[in-house]
Amino acid sequence: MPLVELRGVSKRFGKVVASSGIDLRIEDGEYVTILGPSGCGKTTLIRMIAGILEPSEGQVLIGGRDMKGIPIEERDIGYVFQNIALFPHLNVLENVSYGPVVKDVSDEERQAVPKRYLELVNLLDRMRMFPSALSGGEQQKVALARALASGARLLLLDEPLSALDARVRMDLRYELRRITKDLGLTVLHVTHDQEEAMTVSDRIVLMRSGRIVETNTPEMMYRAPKELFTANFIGETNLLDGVVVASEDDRTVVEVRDGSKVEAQPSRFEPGDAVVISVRPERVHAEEKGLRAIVRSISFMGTYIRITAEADSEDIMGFDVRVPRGRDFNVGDNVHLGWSKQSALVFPRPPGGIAEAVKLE
Amino acid sequence: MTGAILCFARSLSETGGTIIALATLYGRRMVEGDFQTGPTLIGLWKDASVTDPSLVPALSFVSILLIILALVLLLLLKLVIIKVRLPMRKVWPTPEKLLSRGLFPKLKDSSAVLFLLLIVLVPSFFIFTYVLTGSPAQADWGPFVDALVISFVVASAVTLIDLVTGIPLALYIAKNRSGRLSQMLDVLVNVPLIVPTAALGFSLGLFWSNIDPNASAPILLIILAHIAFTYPLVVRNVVGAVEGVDPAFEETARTLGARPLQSFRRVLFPMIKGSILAGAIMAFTRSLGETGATLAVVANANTAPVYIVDLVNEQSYYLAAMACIILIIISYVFMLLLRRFTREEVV
Repeated sequence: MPLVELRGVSKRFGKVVASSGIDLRIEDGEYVTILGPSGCGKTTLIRMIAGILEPSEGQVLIGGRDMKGIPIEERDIGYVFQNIALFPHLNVLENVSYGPVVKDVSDEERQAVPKRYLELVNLLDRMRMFPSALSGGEQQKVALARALASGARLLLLDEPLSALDARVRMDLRYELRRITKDLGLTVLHVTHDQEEAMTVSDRIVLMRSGRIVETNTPEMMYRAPKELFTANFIGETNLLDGVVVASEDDRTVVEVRDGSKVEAQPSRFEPGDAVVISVRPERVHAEEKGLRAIVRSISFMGTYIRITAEADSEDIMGFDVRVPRGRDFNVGDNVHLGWSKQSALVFPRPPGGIAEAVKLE
Repeated sequence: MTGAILCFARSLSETGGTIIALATLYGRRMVEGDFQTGPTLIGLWKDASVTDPSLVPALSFVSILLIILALVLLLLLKLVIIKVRLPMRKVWPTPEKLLSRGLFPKLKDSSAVLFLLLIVLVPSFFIFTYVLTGSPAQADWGPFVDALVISFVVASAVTLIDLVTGIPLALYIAKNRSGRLSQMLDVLVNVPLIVPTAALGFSLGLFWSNIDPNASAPILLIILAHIAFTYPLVVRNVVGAVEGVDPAFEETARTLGARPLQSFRRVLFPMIKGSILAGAIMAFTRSLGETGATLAVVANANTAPVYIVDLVNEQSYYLAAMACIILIIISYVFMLLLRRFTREEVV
């Protein structure tokens, strides 16, 4: 039932356009993440679905029904806020019971439902405590239980984990997905954390400056981004300016700024086209020959070592090496960098330059 | 800064305290030519205008002058705050270090306490010694009890009306922060706080006596007058409290299925309860203690503070002292309540 559909939705605050021309369809039971840098309009979008904001243009449909003029409380949604917003004057059980109480359900349900969801988030033993006595992670779990107990089939999560410690954030991430999948809920999760989006979602909607840049599964977004912005925002990547010198069936040959030639995936570009190559740090290796570079910094990352080098083409290249091998590198060393042609993607060079195209604002 | 403005406005507008202090000093009822402040002058002329209508224009003039002065001063104060940018950015390391150490902080603390004792508390409670040492005069408590009852009826009615009408306005102001109407209302609602109550009372008196020239229900006039300057207290308090509450609370309540009224009743109201009560108690005590505006509206009003002023003017100090003590005790009890409620909200 809770199929969410946005048709040409726009929102303006005075002259500021928070979102424009958004078309989006979310299937029943799907876990979709709206990902984007701060200020890209993702919260505005979710608030329009919730009914807290009315779109300036376009339609919001939930379960096939146009939501225009339908107040928040009749949309049957669960909304979890970044700032948690547990009612401070009510204890945990009373907080979770709020939905059933205001909906005036039968006595048995009002007794049973809140406890069932508190059980689900493993906080039944805290039900007599007040929110201020709980940790941040526990508070957010109570907020989740409260949203679920209202009986909503559509859950809107607005940066639900951002206010929490890194460790708690990681644990809660998996729990969120497990619980909502068990209950078969449709989830729309807003976040600016690409790692969070990758780990929880069935599908990611990437937004920038009020528009949708790209929509796809996390894996496809990472492995085959259609836009330069996506390649840069999801995961990390190295971007190199260049000009196509040969476009063959099995590869594209690109000349970078220092005149050296590198290989990339086959593409539709013609020789002479200005392009940008994107290659992930974990795909770049130090080899016998290739792009010449000087090691500038070395960072220990745990399972690998990240080395940053400045290429003769003036591009900054990051690459990862396994920990024992990392000892072989020193700052100031000359290295040659190479990669398999399949791991390098080719994008048209944006008219405003790379920096403009991947800028977060 | 708000404190300074309130102080200034209160001092500018105080009538009862000034009349009593001066009358006691002179040892007689005040007449023209004595040392006068704006509000006492209004009170005096108002008395006189009953017999001599030619004084009304002059009275209006003083009132208008006071109102304008108050508004101008408020504006100046705001400008000064914007221009001077308190707290000042510049620091003076050596003198400030010296002033922050050793004897100076102690000196600062002890002089502050001493000031509170000598200038504020001891004179306020000095009256007790008068009752204990003075000779009990022929006491007739009837009028005072009557006056007290009237004062309480007025104050209760005023508070009730303030609450019923003030909370919706406060909600409107707090929730439409960006709206121009709301910003204007926010400024306008403060005006009665700044304007001297005697001048305000006179203006109100003129207004209401036009509508009800026979003053058929003086108590109603007093209530209406008191509402004008206690209403802002309720609105101010509630606006402040509502603005302090994250809108996410009410939005959450709505997503959980609560109607706007339910979300106010069960979420917002419990969170701002303390401030509403604080505002109500402030309005109540302010109404209970007001002299100037009462006199300006109804010259022969008989509320408790007016009665005390009359007693002092008639030199019945013993009775006046007893009445004062009762008022002080009542005020003190309300202060305790206020403290309890405001503290509860913090938890």
